[in-house]
Amino acid sequence: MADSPSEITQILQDWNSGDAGAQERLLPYVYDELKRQARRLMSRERVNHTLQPTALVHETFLRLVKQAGIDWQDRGHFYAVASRLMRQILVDHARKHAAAKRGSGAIHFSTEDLDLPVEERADSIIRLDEALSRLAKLDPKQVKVVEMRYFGGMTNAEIAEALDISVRTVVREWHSARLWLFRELNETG
Amino acid sequence: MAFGKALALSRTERNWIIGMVRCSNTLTMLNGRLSSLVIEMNPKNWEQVKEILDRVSRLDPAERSAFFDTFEISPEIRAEVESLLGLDDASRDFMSVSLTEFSKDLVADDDPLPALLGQRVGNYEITGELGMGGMGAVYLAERADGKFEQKVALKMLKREFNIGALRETFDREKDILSKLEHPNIARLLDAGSTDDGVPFLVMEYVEGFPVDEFCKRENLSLQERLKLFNKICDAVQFAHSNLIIHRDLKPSNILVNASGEPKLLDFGISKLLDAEEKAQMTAFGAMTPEYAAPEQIRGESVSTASDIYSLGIVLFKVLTGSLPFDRKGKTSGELLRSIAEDEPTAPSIAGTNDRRGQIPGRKHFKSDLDNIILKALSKEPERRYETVEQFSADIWRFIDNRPVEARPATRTYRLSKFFKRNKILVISCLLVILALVVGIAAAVWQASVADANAAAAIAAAENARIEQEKAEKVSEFMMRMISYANPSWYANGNRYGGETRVIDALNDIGSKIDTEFANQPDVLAELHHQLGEVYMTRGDPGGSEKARHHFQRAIELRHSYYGYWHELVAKDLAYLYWSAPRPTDESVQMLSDAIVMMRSTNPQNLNLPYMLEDYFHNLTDEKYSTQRAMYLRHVPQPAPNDRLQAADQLYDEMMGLLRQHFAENDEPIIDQKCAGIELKRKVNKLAEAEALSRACSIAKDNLRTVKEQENTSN
Repeated sequence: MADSPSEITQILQDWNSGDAGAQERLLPYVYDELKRQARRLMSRERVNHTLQPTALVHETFLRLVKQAGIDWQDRGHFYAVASRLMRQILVDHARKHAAAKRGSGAIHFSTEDLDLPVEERADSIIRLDEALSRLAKLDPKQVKVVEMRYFGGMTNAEIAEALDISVRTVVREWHSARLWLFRELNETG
Repeated sequence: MAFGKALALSRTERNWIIGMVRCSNTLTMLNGRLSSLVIEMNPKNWEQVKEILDRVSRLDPAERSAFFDTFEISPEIRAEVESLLGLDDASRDFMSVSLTEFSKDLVADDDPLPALLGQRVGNYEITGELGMGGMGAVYLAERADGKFEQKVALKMLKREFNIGALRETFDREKDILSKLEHPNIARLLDAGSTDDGVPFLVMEYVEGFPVDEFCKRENLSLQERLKLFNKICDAVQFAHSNLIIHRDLKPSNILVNASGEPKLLDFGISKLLDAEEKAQMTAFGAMTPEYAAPEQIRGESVSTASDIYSLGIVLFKVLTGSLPFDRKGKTSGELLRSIAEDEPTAPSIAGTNDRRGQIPGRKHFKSDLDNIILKALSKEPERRYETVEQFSADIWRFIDNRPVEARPATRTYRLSKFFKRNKILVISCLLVILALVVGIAAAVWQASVADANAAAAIAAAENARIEQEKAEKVSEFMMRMISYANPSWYANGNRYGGETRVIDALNDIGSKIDTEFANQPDVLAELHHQLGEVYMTRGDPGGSEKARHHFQRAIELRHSYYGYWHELVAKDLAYLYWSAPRPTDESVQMLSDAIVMMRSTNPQNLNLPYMLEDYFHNLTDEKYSTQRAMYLRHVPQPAPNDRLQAADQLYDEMMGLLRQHFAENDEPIIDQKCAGIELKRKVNKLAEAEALSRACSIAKDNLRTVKEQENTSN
């Protein structure tokens, strides 16, 4: 069975005890669960509340931990992994909706953009993903900060803890990354 | 001025910036040859850009320019920084909306739930999802025929798992649940299958929190928690009386609703105890290791005792907020081994690092409550409570301030370590009795033969005849006892059934020896003593009273046979002390007397070091001051007046004696070395403490390696 609890339990325990390979082995489970949570939470009709990514990641975390039946210590690192997967999931979905022709409009990811047609928004996500891949060549750690902050909805403190850097550094990285991405998406794109 | 502030941060920072800038200049000079203005960003200069960006972002243009000049920032880096900073305003809203919000409708496809949402299953309509298990899903559903408003939990087998074997397990849960009508068990309301043949169960929907979370949220007192737990026990006992073992008891399967009623859920991997139970299915794959009993982990047969164990862990969690087997820093293999082998932490000292988990009244945790939980957590199923009812009854006794049946586990464990008995404790105990009976008979007989001389030939012949008779009687009795230990009782691993009959056998022996051996008080006394030990180590309910009875009989008999001052009397006294449920003024006095007596009659007796251990241990116990004072009052003389000094003297005496029996690397010595570290520190013998501590950790490592090797070679 793909989601056998004992297997997840095993992996989480290995992770808890510092087994580096455990993180990789957990990916498919997190991916599945995250996808399911994404579908579950995001398919709901748009009511008054806004859906924050952190809710999604958190729900996934709770689910997996519950399934494994253990009290999992390393939440920060889990959030980091989940954020990376969240990016992958959103991009996967966006690809299905993207128009054949590449758009060239401004990309802001702001409130006004919520009313854009699905294809345009899908296109924005794909272009953000591509820009992040370019940034990764320059600064892979900074990409992690962006993923955690924007795709995972983690707080600066959580990011700092997961990456073992200061909150001050997280703020700095986020600031310069935002500027860089903005220029990348709106001026050179 | 902001600029000045930025530079005034610290000398090291300033130096660092200067160094960094110089470095960047060198780099840009190199780069400059390739492209004069457009800088090729690489990881290294991107680092610099980020640094400088951070430094200058809050400066106004004039200050910024001054900064660039002062630090001789290369034009390329400068251009990059300016370019990015120029976007600060334009990018104000950039990434301001959450990405999940932004892409909501992108993800809303191929979802199985919407397909089921609103669908009718039997008389119910699916309104939400409650959980996804391995092979089934649980949905929230409502009655659709409008007869009455009712929320239910609808458990469905996943379509892809709707195959023979899995269907059977699903059907079994239905059978089990249909037998369990109890206010604290989530009820089965209905069952059936959909039009396309997927089976489903309709169950009472419990809206509530897992029991541990509930207790924390409601901040329940110790008493309230215990009473709540007893309700859970009722439900489990009810299942057991219906021959059903739950096998996966844990807080997430025990929800407490708003009115404070606990409800047992998920009999998914529970088992029907068939009269003709075949191969015992081990449900390791499905259970939750932290709450699983050692025999479950070892893949051995599972009984009601396994549920009692899991309940013990649940109670532990509910009272302390933590689990007895710490998973931190352990691989899963280590955790499982720990559950199977290590002694659990006492609840009263568990989780002291986690203030959040603590409950009001926790400081009133008595050793009684520790004993109750540790009894439920015994490694050997036969040493736990026999039934959930007995477990629960002992908790009621605690609540009502009556003496509990669970005895101090540490003492039992210490003793059992001493006796080096294991799972087949009962058999070996019986063998000990047999050996002793034979041994005593032979010794007495030989003594009489040796005494024989010409002058007393006739008397000796008469004596020999008496001893011969004695020996025959003993061997006849021995034969009868062997028949009690008929191995067929233990056949097929059916220890549960076997146990009850062994206790019958013991009771029977106990009631007969007084008449059988009325003429051999020396043999009879030793038999009473041995029986006492058997009762004491077995830990049956009421066993400690029986043990005390036998020790007292042994003392009476020995007094009349050997007199008051004798090695064997000292031994009996010590055991009488050990079998008391808790130390009293009288029993501590007894132990003290026993120590003095044993020292003078036979210091080689192996019981003596353990008597000393008990004494010094209690003298140093920091938890119970009144108890400590009691031990100090009766401390075996000669001894210093100071409590710790007295303890230290007893400890040294004990070590000296142990060394006469054991080698330096034997477990008893190592154990005591480890036990002495703290004491040596307290009496300020730091060098000794250090030496003990070193010896202890080395020896423990060695032992572990040896044990691991044994394990792997098995």
